[in-house]
Amino acid sequence: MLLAQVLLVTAVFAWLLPKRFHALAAVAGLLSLIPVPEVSLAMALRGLWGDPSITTLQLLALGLMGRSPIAFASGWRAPLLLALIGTIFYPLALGLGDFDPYRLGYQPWLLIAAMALPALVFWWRGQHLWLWLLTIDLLAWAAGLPESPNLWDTLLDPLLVLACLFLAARNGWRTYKHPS
Amino acid sequence: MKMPSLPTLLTPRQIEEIRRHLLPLLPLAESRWVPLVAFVLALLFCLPWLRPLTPSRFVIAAPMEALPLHKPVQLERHAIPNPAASAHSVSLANLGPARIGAAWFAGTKEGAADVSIFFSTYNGHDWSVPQAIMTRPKIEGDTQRLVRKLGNPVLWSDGEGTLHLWFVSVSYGGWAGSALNHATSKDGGLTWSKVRRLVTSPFWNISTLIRNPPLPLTDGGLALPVYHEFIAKRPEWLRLDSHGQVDDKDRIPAASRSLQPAVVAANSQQALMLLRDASPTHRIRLSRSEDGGQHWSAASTSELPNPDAGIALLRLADGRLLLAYNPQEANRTQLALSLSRDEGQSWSAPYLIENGSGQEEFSYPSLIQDEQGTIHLAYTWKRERIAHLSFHPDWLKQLRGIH
Repeated sequence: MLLAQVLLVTAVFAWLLPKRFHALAAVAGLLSLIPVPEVSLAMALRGLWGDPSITTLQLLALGLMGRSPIAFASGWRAPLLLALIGTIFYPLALGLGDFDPYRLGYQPWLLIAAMALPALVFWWRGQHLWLWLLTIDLLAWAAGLPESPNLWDTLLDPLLVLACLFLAARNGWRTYKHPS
Repeated sequence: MKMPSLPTLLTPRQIEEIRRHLLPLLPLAESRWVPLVAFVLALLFCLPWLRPLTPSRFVIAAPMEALPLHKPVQLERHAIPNPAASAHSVSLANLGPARIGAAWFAGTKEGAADVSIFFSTYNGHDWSVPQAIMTRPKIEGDTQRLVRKLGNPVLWSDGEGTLHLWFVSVSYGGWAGSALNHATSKDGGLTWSKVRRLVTSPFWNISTLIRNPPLPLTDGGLALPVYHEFIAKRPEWLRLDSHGQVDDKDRIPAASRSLQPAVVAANSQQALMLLRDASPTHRIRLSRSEDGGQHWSAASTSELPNPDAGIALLRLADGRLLLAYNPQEANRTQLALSLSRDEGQSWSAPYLIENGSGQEEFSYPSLIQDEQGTIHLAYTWKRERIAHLSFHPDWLKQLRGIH
């Protein structure tokens, strides 16, 4: 999944560069595959944070296609929800206490059942983005695409949670300052 | 108010082009029911992978008959040749009749960039010239990620011709940032498969380490005793399927500040786990399972001293337990053996194998009993090389206090 790192590098450059130079972002992404001398930037990044989740890849792909979901681009509730899940999940999974929620992702009956209920609510409310994200996550997991067999790693990753913390704070502040 | 969206790589014209091609599908995609149907289909697609785990049961080796005295009872000492200035963390495995293998890490010093994992075999008389079987470039190439250091090899033979090697690697930071790797050899360690990364932690897969060998399960899988170091040191328990894929992970309760679990099975369901202690108590801790490792008791404290150093635990063919450890509360200057006949409830007085002084270190033992019954102990000798002792089980009679 070095290509996932390429997508990340491309997205970061596209975010930093002015719009007219966005083609350079794709070039930077491809350059990240070149070993210097033995290890490429993509390999160095993969060593640092592993493979991003399928959810992250979907959101990055949508962003690079100019189709950033409004719920993440300007909303604060969706990123806050993911950020909250992450801030509870990661400390527990890293050894805070005897309960390890990460275990639920190896035989994920319970996790999938827990996802199905909010998925129905999202569908009922017409928030189809969530349904599509979860659908593609589940399909990718069942197809064995991610390196990790644990469903949590398909749904979430620390970078996504950090980005959601930033988006929730930024978009929440903007909504507070300029209520529509 | 219109908020800025994430940057785009496509021009509005290209986006319009894509939309035009997808236009016939739009009514379908915008239907209220399509996302729900797709989600339900995805759930159905997952069903084959949602089978419940079968209860785990340990494979128990058939008891060995009384061993012929084909080898002298006295202790034999050997040195495994070391190709580098420093050596540490040896692991032994049976390779067949009268043949064992050892893997350890060696280089300029622990954690140095030139550290590799070396492998050597013993034919009953001599150790072979060590070969570097895992180097940083190989691991980087195989796993497609940067690797800064490697360590803690664990060698294990499944008895059916496959030799397994697990080891830790670190991309950034200290040992607490370790991840697990796995490779196999079908020719007794001459050549090795591509290294595969085991994903065992959700936070950038950091902080799962290994030191002691697994227990085989009746379903063809393995139970792997591992530990976590980041934020809090904790022993953990991985269940692997017959392909080496992680199936389950458990945390040993009330075992904070202990690590490097060493496990032996008593029968198909009962097992004993001894733990290195990193707390001020300086005593080996223990936990027990009554259901094949699916649940573990809250860790308790034994009487055995431990200076926050690695231990090795072996069930001998006659059923007794043999422990190799540093019988001190501080320092690693002594290395000893103790025996237990009652599943670890009581232990013989420590029999000193090494009794050094000052900063001398004798540590990180590994124990096996080969197919002819000879017991082998290997350990780090002053961080300079790996020492190897072998002896007949009758030699253990001189361990006092065992009833």
